[in-house]
Amino acid sequence: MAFATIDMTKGITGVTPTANLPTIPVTKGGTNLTSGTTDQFLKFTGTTTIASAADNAGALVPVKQSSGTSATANVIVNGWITDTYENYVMDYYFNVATSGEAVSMTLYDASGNISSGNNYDWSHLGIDGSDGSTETLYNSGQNAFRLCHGANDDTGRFSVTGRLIWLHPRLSGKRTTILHNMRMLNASAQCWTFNGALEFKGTNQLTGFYCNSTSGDIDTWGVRCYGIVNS
Amino acid sequence: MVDRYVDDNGVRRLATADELAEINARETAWSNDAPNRKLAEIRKIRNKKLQETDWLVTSEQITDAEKTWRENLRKIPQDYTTESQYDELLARDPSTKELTHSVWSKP
Repeated sequence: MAFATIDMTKGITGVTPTANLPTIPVTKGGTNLTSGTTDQFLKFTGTTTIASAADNAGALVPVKQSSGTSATANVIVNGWITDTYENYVMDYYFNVATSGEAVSMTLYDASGNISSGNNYDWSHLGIDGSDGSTETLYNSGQNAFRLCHGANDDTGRFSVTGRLIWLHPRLSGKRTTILHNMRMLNASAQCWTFNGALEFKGTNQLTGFYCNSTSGDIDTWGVRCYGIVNS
Repeated sequence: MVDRYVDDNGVRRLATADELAEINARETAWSNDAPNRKLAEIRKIRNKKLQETDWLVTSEQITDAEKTWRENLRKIPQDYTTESQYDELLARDPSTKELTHSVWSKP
């Protein structure tokens, strides 16, 4: 005897219990998953399989960012550098409240800020955008780095903007090198651009830094930190 | 006393006593060194202007007025010795940002 047909539009009510629902395979447009990991994405792990996976689309992974628009003497960025990544990139901008000031950077390790030991060296070669002449920014054996000097407090532009590439700040027993590209406004609000490096001669495992204007406040600032994926 | 603030990982707070002492110490040191910084800046500007006109000397096309101007540039450290004189040498036009002291003007 043939089966009678069932009219799905009539006489059926209720909801199928979740426990009775099957997963839908990838080959039928589903994921075949019953769970995933918080903050992760779906990733094809084969032609017909999907799994939860961390975002590894880029070489730079955002770690943290912070900014401020109120006058502050010290900008502390600490705890962002960890063992998660070997190398880090940080983009920054600072506006000094008083023209002619330099911006200094003092490092932190797990014990606090490192403001003694004369372990801070830096050297940069730059160019004056107004006339092409050469500028330098260097010193050695200091107790803080100098990110710029003689910066203008121009209200329409940032006094100094730059990028720091931290090379192995957590590697035990090795010094930390920070490659540094920056552009600043000089006393006459002309653009100076510099390429150089900051060399910390201690072997501390670094965790962050604080920045300050050599006198007066920093009135606007921002720092964005990215970890560099080793792959 | 003016309150000083610290931005601690994105949280703005009053500076602690230790931080305030450090801030005051560095600002005092910076302030005390102002004349040296100004003279260093003046020397840098002076040297740049001399270098820009060295070709006049080597090409033997230099005028007497230009010789006097270059001589006056070289004598700046001995002719100007106070911080107020340094300020006058470093003064700039607010709109053009050009140095305004006559010693810088090339004849």
